[in-house]
Amino acid sequence: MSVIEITEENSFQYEGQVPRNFLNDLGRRYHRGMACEAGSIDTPPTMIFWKIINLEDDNVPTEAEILCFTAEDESEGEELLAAFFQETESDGAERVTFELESLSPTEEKLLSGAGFEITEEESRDIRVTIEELSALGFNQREKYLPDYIKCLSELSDRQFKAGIMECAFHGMYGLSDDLPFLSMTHYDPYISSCIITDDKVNGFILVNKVMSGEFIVELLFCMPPDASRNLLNMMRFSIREAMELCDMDDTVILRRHNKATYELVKRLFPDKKGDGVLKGGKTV
Amino acid sequence: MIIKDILTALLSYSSSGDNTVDIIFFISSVTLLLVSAIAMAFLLISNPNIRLRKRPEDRFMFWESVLVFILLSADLICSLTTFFDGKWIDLLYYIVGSTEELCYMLVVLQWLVFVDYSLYRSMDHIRRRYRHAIIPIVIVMTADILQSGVYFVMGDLNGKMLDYMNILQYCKLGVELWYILIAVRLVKNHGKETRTPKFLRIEAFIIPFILSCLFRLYDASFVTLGIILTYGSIRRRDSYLDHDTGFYNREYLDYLGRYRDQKGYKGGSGMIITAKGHGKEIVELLRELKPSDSEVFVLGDDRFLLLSESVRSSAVDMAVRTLTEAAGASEDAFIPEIITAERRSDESAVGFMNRLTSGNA
Repeated sequence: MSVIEITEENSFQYEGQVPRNFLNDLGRRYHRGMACEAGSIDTPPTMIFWKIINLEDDNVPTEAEILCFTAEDESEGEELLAAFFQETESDGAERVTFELESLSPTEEKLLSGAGFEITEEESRDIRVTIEELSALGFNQREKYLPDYIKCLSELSDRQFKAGIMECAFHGMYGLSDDLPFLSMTHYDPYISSCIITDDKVNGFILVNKVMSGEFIVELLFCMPPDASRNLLNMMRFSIREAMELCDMDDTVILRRHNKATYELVKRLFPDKKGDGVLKGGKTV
Repeated sequence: MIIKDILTALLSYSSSGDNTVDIIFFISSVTLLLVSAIAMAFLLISNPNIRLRKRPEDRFMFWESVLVFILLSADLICSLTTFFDGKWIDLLYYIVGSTEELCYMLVVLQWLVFVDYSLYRSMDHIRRRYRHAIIPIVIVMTADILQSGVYFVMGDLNGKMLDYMNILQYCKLGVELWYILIAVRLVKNHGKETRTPKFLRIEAFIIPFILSCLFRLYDASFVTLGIILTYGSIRRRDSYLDHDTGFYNREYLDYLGRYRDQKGYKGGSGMIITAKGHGKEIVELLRELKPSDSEVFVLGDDRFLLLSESVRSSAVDMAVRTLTEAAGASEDAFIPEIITAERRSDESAVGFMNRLTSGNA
């Protein structure tokens, strides 16, 4: 029994055993995966997927966030977690955290045994339907949309890169620490929007359609002047595009990953709560 | 009594009733108007940037100067009409007086636009924000013209018109103050958003503006002084610009280093970009791709420095990739040589900039 790294090359072996988006993300800069190379073909493999966050930011500690953990066999799970901690330590992570929808008793036992304090809490993600977004006051009040707001499909690759560079130089990475390495095709070309000022992109709402069919807002950024007004206009634009192109029941995930997004979501949906999830953390 | 006469003449912009005082103020007012006009003319003639009007800020300043000239001329004509009498002279007085008021408000609006552009350097933003900014002026001026018309045709109706006129004066002042408050808010917000040195001094205009409100007799001269001082405050920035490219020169690099050390700002990264024989092309690419939070410095014909406060290696890495790709895709494809460096935690800003420019990056 040995622990192997799951890479883009060998990921096909795990098709059907793990949500496709984790396998797809393996090509990304800070996303990793490991599995135990053993067990019969009938038993699900012991696997872990995680991403490294804040690696480039000297002001906050580097963390590893477990995105998916499956283990049916305790000894395999222990071995995998030991290898995982070794890997995250070598990546410079000072802390490991997770927010997972559910854990089997074996998985929970393994993580607790590894030193994680597991609690049931509200998720940082808020799920809203397109219908709920379309009913927002700011969307209904204003009919007019300025012509300098465009959808992503109207941008050239160079304009997109220049816009992302603008975000990165301002330290605005949204949900993706690897933002500068992601291509334009990573995002939905019609629901994602941007602002063009003086032929330059100086604001983005980047929305990614994940494998589950849900949309997730990965970046909200707008440069001054008039940043708040322009951000609101972009949100209006994206909502209207979504109303035209999607079902009203389609879900959008709004992740409250920092104080600003927390405040924004609270303001937009004061009564909405995140689902119950299992959270855990451990200093390495 | 004399002091009261002087104050009446200064504050109310009307005759004090004392001949000597009135003559003194008339002469001083006309002299100041002439001096102001000469100063404005000197500003226009001596500065090739304003004359050529290649940059938007120069175009703003040029039209600001034109408005100030009209304002000064109108004020001068108004002063001279006091020597003549008659209905047509009254009409001339109303027309020129209204023109003066219009110019006065337009000068303040144009100054606000100039301030906004100096801070954000975005013409699109200027067009969007100030599309309707002239509406308050149009409303006030329509009322002013109507009032002048009634006043000319019917004369003063037992002083009632004078009351109305005062309300209109307050409206005009309100519009001007509104523009000034917008400028103050812009400068305040911009100060929070960026840590770059600021050359523009809005107090250079605001203080003369307040004086012009207090001493109405010399209002046009004070406003002219405000414009000249405002322009003077940003001329220092011009001295740090490379005229061929519009990017900053080495003197500004030294200045910026000292400024950042003085303020205690930490961090930063730099990219030395060398594109032998492709100076013009790389200038175009840098103009197109330079992040707004960074500055470009000219180190030589084909050598530039892109300095940023960002220290994230992925941001710098992306800039290198994007510039290289864009250079490769240009008509005359080339590969620029790019060296990156990050400011060390124990390094001063001046030290970092010296390291960058000395080739030891």
